[in-house]
Amino acid sequence: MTELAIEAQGLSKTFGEVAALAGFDIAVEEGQTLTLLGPSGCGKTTALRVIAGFERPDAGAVSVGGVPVAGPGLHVPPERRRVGMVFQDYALFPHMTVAANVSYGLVKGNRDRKDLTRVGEVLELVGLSGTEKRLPHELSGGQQQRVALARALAPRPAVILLDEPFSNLDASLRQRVRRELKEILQEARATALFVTHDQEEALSLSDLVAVMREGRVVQVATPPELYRAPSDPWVAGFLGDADFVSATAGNGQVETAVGTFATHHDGEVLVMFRPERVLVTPQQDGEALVVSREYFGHDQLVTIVLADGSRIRSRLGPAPDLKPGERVAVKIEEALTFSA
Amino acid sequence: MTTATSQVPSSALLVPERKHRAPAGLVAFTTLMVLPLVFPLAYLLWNAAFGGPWVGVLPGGRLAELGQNTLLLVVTVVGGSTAVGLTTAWLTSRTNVAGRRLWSTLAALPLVIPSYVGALALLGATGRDGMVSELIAPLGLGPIPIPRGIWAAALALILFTYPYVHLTLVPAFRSLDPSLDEIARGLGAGRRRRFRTVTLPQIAPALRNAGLLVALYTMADFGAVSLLRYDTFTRAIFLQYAGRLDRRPATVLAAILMVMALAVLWAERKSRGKMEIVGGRTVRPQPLLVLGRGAKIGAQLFLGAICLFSMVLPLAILVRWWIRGTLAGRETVAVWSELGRSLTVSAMAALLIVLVALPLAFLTVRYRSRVGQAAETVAWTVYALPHITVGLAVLLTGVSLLLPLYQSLPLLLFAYLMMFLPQALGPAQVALRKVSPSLEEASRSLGRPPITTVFRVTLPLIAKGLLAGGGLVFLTAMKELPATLLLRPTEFETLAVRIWSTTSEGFYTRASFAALVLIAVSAVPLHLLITRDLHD
Repeated sequence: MTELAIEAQGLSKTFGEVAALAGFDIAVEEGQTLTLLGPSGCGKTTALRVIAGFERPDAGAVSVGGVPVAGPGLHVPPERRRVGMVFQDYALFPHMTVAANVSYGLVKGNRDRKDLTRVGEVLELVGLSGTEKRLPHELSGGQQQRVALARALAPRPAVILLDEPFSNLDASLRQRVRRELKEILQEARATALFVTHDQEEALSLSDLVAVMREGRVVQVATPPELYRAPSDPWVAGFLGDADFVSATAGNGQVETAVGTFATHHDGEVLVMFRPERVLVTPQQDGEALVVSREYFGHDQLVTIVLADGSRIRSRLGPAPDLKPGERVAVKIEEALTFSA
Repeated sequence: MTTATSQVPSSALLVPERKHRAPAGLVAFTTLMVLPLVFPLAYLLWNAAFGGPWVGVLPGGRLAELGQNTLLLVVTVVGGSTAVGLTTAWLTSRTNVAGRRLWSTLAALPLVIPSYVGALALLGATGRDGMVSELIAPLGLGPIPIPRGIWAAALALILFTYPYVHLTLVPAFRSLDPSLDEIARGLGAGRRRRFRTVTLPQIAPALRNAGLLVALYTMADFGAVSLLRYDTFTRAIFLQYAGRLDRRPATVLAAILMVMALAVLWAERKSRGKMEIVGGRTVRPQPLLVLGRGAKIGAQLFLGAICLFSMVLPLAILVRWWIRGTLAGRETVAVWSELGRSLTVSAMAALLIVLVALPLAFLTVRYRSRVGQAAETVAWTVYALPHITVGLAVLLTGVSLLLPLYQSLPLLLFAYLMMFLPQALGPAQVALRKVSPSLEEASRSLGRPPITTVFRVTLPLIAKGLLAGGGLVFLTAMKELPATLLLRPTEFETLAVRIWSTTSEGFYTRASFAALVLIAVSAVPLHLLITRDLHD
């Protein structure tokens, strides 16, 4: 079995009246990239800060690289945790050059040659060789972020924690920076724990995604698993567009206005349709009626009403040109059921 | 593709601010530091209340007379300096009067002139050899009588306190939200109604602050009233203390003055209410008011007159006395040792106070701590008290409880700490607030313990703020008179003491040179201060 780079068990943390963490568990294997995904205020940043050592948990335990760092009666300060951190605002020391920032975590006091080699190494890794003597404010946002990453990687921490690392970047830059970051982390064979509220970011970036809600992890899975087999309707809706239709299941089947689907639930169920798995084609005697359409260019989102009055959406390419009032035939490529 | 929630910038903005409990050492240090700030004042109050009989301490009617005088002076000066400062601030920041920036800086300059130097200038202008008297003699006008009493004191104080109003109001006028005025205009409000209903409420907090500042300053002023012989509490306290062996009258008067200052503070706090201007985030500056021809000339004349009376004339008078004295072969330059003492003691005060302010700034900015909040309130409250009261309180404590320290430099430095702590604390807090805690956390997670983090990350980043605060303390300590007068070691004459004593003995030549040196030395840190407040 692979070593666990991070293991957190039963973490709880309350700020005044607000419970930020309530029984939070997570395990990250060495070399893995895991993202904590959740809506604002779900406690994901608190989880990160507890692991980094900036907050003491009220209950629970944390190990980093197999070493217990937090638990009942135990609190290893952040400087002795072997945890690298990339902050939302990057937190580059504004009064130090890039080289001084990157070498900051390398030794206590004296800097020997080996360290300068390491500075060059990590700067090359993040593609910023030659910027050693620049000051942080002379760099672009994306470059600043890579310096922050290089600084965190330099002391070879057991794990890198990244708190909403893309939130300060222009939307146009994000996709590229995300790809670069993923490559750098892979090349460094680093273990990384991300925090984000952006579903797309989480799904595209990580080996595993842990969805958080109200201070605890509700599901951990690979991105495709998570998207296609969410553990409950809330996770399904949080990860992407989803429409739900109530129905009654029996004998491993559930019948709806758009067809019959297999299910292992019995009784009252919710059937979930992802718009991109709902295909509609114009047809004179189609079973559904177009109610409205939003046209985006590269695709369109069509809302249709079914025979039983329920509404679902379909995401289609730019054609055909569907208009409200048109009748369409519906083909469901995939549906998921949850017990209601 | 879903983008439903990806627009939300950050969860951190919505989660309540996380502040940790302060380290015990920091809390203990602050407590140890702040308790002594209160002790002398408590001791003074206790002494006044229980230290002896109440009846017969002061001649009948004396207390009422002093109260009346002080109140009259405060009302006159607050009214006068508000009128002057409001006008200069408005003209230089809201109208298109020519040379606005220059005028705005000039209007702030009289801050370098302490009230006792102002009084010296007033005395040097009048009387038989007064400069102004000599100027008007050829016109056949008799010498101007030497000014004494309320009008003299009020004039000196208005001319040298209006810059506080000016400096407070200029930023307020600058940050006026133009859209509010435009909306009022769209709703049909005329210029006067808009000023009353839109502009005034927006600048009211600044106006009230300025008024409070001037009221406390006037109530506490010792230099001008003592040299111009107007009987207020401060003058009476000093005369009682200097003239009698029995300290009780001075103690009682000082306690009463302290209670009065606290009452003013409390009343201001009460009147502040809950009203806040919503919005106020100015995205564009309000267009300037275009003055008519007559108004423009009037404005130039007004600004020129203020500058003439508050800066040019006082300096000219000082220079004239100095030159005349030198030509007459009188000794003028024997102030270098006084200057040396002033520089030394002010530098020591600045260093000490910055060192004390630093941990307090950390405690109040970085942690949630009741002790920190209490310490901050105490520091600001003591700051608002008249210096003569603080001086007497420290003196009393020294004489009764710490006799070895009586009339020693440490005791004087301690009084400076009481009086000037917020001047260093404020800039340190502002600087610290600008340093994101994530910088400190980054340093921690990179393997540096808290102490190293403070020295390598935090201190370099707040150094400018500390320097600004230290400079301000230095400047104020240089000019401080009443507490220095009471607490200085025997024969320890500073520039301020020298100016005051030579002026009160009528040696204007000597006093003028010392005053010019003091102004020159003060001008440097003040220059930095003014450029920061006016042009930011």
